[in-house]
Amino acid sequence: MNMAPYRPERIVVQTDSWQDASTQEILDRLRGIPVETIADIDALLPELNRCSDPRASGKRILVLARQRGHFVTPCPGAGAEVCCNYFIVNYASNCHLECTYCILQSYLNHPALIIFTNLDQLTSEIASVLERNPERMLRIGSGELSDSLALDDITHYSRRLVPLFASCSNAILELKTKSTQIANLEGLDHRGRTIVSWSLNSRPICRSEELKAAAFEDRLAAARRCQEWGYRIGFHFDPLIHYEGWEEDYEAAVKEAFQAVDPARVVWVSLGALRFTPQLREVVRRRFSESRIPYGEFVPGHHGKIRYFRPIRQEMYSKMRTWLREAAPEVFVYLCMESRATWEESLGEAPRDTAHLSAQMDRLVAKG
Amino acid sequence: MNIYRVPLQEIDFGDERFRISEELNLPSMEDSLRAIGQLNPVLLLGREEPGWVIVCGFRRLHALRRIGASHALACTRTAGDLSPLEAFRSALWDNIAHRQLEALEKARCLWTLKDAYGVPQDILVQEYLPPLGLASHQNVLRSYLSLHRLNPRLRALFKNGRLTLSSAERLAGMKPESQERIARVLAKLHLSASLQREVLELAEELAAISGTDPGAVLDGEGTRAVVDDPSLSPPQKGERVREILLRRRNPRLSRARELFLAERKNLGLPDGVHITPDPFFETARLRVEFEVTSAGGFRQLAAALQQASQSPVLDGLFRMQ
Repeated sequence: MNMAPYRPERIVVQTDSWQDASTQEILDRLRGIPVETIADIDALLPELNRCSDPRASGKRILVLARQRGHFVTPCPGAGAEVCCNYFIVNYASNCHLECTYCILQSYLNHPALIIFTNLDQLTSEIASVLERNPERMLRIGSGELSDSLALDDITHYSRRLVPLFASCSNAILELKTKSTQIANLEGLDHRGRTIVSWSLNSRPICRSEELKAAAFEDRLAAARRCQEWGYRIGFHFDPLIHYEGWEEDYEAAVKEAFQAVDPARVVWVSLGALRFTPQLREVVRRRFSESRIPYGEFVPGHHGKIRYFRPIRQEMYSKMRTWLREAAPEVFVYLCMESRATWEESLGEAPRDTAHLSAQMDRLVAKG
Repeated sequence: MNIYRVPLQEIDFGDERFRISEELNLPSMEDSLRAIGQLNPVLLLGREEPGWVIVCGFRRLHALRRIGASHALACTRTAGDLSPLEAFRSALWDNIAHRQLEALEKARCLWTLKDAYGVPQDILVQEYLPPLGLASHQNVLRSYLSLHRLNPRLRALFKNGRLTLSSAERLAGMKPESQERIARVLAKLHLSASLQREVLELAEELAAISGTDPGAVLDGEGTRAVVDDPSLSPPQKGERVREILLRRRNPRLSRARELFLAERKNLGLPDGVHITPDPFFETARLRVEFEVTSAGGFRQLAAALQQASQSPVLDGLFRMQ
């Protein structure tokens, strides 16, 4: 159940991060790696941009910096016709897992792997968001700009966040990961307020496109362990990738996933077909020439992204739904960034709107 | 600086290490030399063995030879007082001083500086791109260096304005056999800049999908018939080739479009009515446009639309979304 832990070649501390306790804590866990201090992390950009692959080189530099913007923001999916109305919390930016399709490759302005150190601001911001929304059950997840747990052996942030949410009556934390870095979750008094979710894919895709992520079976083993520790878990089959033989592989993945865990303690499963920007497609071709991902039948879609032609997506969702029904009849399945029409055609039903889906999911998490 | 009359037979025309010019055969140069003779001396570098290497003045010397001259006015240098790099720089600056270099000439200069004289890429970017009229950026350098790997037939197409710089760059990255096959096809098509980009991208993608190379895709069975069809004009051929590749690249979307067109035809609407679907069938939205020039025409159209609204074909159009 081991995946290679992240170890940078060098660490760069932004000057004002030295005031944060987490900076020294992180450095203590990475002894022996050269550390330097700079005033502005953008000063790294010329050096990185000269590299043949700035994205790969950037990940070898760990930057400890203060988050200057907001830690908590609405999920970018919020513009879709039906959206789960999620909040995201970003305590890191970038990820070392090297998934070929990763949107961060074309999204982030800075190629280094950045961990934000001003955790006090993070916790006060979360508290403030909860205070402003007392009537809602907020679902807040941290897997948007980085994997939620892949760096947890370095940050131990889960040990701050899980207890924080345990004390909240109107919010849950979702930690989304492709890793097996769950050691810090053991023994925490989470009170059912943290859901640990795994991003899953078919075995061949895990092997060929999620290059440094944990193996499929290792993710499931980690999920099972978290269930044993009392956590509810989620699965995200996102991105679903269309290739010859996908049906057999994904059906097997669904079966294995629900054989590995207790289906009754799986709070939700999301489905999302591959989508990416045209720029990302070029990046994937350049960085991962072996990847077949850029060669699907794509059309322009939401937010300037391209995605599979609708009948392909519908077929994938529909078949996944069937396999999920067979493996876990009660599990809640939802689609990410899809229209009502696609929901109806694929799943046979659709939430009326974002508020409806949001309410359904709020009820699920409130059940505890 | 002394000027000498050097016999042409002492000049090694085959040694082109300092050549900048892409085109050496200039009829206007011959006319000028015939009319008023050689006004400006060329620059020659002495070899170890007897004879001379051309540094500046390739086009003048070739023209002199073609018009049957026996001698050329020349300034001369020896290897001792002009290193090969200095000689090349002399040729480059001499050319830049009196004319705008073509893209292929710029490519040749940059390639030679890098390959023959070992000038580092960052020096090329900083010191050589600006005087060549190019932006001082690594990507620009990469583009121009790639041109030098272009197949001669593709170079000719580029030189004639039939290929854009980005297309040429894309093609230069392909294998020589692939370039040769594509050159054969492109010589018979007319593709706008955007169509070039689209066709080459489609060819590359289809090659990646099928595990072949873009040359085999573009010069394959389906497209060859179009390319060799004498009844089609070059722009028509270009459009047809694009359609063939597009259909292969997006089989489901293409089939949906064809089905839609067939069903729309079955609806039997008058010519003035246009029904278009969402371009990618993402939504059920249909756009209906019509134009009339009289009240009578309007009534006729309304009746035709009323009749179409009763047709089961109409439901089919929406089911396809």
